Amino acid sequence: MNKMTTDIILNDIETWRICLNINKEIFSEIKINGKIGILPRNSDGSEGSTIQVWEILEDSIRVSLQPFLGFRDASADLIFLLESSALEEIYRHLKNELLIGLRKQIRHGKALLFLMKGRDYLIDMGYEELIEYLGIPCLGTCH
Amino acid sequence: MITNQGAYPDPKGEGKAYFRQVAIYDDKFLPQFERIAAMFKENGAVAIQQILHAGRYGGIDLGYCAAPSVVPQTLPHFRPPREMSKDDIKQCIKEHVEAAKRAIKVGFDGVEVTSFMGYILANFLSKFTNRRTDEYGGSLENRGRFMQELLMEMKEAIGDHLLIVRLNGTELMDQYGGNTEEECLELIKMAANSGVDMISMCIGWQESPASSIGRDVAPGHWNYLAKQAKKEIPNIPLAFGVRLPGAVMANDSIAKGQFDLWEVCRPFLADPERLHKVAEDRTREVKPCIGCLLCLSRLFRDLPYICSINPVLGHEVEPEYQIRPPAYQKNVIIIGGGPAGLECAVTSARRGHKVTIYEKKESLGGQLRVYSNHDLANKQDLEDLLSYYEAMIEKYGIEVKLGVEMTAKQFRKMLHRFDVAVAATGSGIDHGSLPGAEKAVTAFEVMEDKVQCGKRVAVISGKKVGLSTAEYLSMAGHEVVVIEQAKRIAEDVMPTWKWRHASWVEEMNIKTITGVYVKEITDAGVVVIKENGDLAVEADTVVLAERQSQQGLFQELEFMVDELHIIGDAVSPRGLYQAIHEGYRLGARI
Repeated sequence: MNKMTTDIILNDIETWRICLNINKEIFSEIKINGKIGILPRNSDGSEGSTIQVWEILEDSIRVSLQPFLGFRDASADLIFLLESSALEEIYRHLKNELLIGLRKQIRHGKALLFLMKGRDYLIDMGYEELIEYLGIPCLGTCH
Repeated sequence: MITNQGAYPDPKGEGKAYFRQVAIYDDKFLPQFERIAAMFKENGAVAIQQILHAGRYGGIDLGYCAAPSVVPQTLPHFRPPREMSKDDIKQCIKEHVEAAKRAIKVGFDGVEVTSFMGYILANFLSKFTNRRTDEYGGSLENRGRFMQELLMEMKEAIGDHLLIVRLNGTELMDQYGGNTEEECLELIKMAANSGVDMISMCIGWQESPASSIGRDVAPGHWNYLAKQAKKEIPNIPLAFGVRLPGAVMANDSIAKGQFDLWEVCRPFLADPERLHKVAEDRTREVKPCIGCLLCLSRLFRDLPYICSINPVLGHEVEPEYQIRPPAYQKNVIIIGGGPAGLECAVTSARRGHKVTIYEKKESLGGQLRVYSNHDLANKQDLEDLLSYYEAMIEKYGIEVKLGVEMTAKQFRKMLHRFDVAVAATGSGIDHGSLPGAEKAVTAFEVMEDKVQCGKRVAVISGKKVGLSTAEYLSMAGHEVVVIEQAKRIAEDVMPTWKWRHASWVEEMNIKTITGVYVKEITDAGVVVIKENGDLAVEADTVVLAERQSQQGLFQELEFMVDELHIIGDAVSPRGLYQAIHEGYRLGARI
């Protein structure tokens, strides 16, 4: 998949918004103003220049595109860094298998979940359930 | 050579990796180090002090960690990174040098620098975590600059004393964009040219998505990396020991020239006496490290290490854990030859009691043996543990009666022969009151190959026994679905092993249905209750895998013996660690 396709998928915020809101119970534990980012990973390993941000509102999820200026300035609490093939796969099954898809891509090494805030903050914000579901233990691991 | 636990070198605590880690940033800490160095040397060892700045995994008392660049964490346990300036780098070198000088001053023969596992120097070496554009980032040479400068300055400071550096043979971070094995090898060569006297090789980072030290990695798996490195640095001693828990294999590897020194850490937690036992040709008596990583599970919870196999670890000075002769010898009957019963038998026999084990099966080991037969990880680890118990039974003259199911009636015939009875009867799987349960088989029947399952199998329980059974059946070609009442599978599995089951389940396409109640078992399969109604799960065979403790005999033996105890899964179904620990604690006080 080329960059143009990645951009098309990322820019299709209406489809993302509809599908995220259909599945909003997935995010029901997360407090209002919680933000999750989807960031494409370029083939050279660098990050894309645009991040899609899902913001938890009182009764819905807002989807927006923002320029990505580096991790230091990112406003999201969690960022999924996705290879283009992973982004395409997730987009394809967005309606029914968003979380399953993300977990699968993480396990296959095609997606990387970056935790932008400390553990206590993330737990306070209600991310624990989501993080654990994705197969990432909140109390660390070592294998 | 004994290397003392890594001490963090900076007063801010950016280097501090875990709760209760020792510090060496000030002379006020030196008396404790002086005692440790003296103890090592008095016992004939070369004394080494490790200096550990944990970098990306540090700053545990702070709200951040120090790093070459702001690359966010992939595990929630660690702190958000803060980029180090060039002045910070200089300060970090200075603190390492001062720490090394302090260690030498109080009697250590050398120091070991930690450039591995995702600690500070490794963070600079890695393409994943080092995004710098100055002379400390970019090319391999630039990424290695901090390590080289630090090693050279330390060597200059400690002169003829030993300087050891620990490096990764592979980071296992390739998929994150980390260094390749080839790059790791180049960095090892770079370190070898920086004045070090020895290199120690490690595998993986703490956040590596792949296994490096767990039971699913076969002992000796990583030796090829040591062998490659040894070829490149023939004149510098290479120490290695990752997933190499046994002395025999290690000795063989050294003889083949794969590396020069065997490094051992976790196996010493399982048996601190292992070197003496090996030297005295008592290898069968060594308690094996099974690679379960309970020790590290605890570390991530800011708790002291404990070991599944060695209940004494961390309690060495407590009288309750010491093996002392009893006031008088007792005749002890242990009913059940699983891990709890075996550990209790060995411990009480070591103290001088006369012990007899009654086991209803034809072999010892209980569920541990059943599980080891179908272990998808490394069967040998669990078999080694059973061999250890067999060796100890022989050594301490414990009488074993196999194939005898003890009942209250039978025990009554032996009244007054025993002073103590220990019910180590384990757990069972009860068909219970579930409608249609008589149509099902149990996980134990499946694992002992007593029943044949149909093509489609539904396993009721997503806990460790259910998962192991499901994995075994899947490997045998069955289509398996796991039904679990809890929200997630593997709830009773050790944190370091949950991911392994989750991965296997996914890799084997085992379907999981969680958060549901089982309503009934029918001829067509299982009916479960979901939030929005009933769901029929079709299956040719239904396997029950939820365990219950077996306490019937314990209750029946009341008023039939002077002392009566109950241990292990018979108390409540849990795991190997609880069984062994309870067995030991009881054996030490009978």
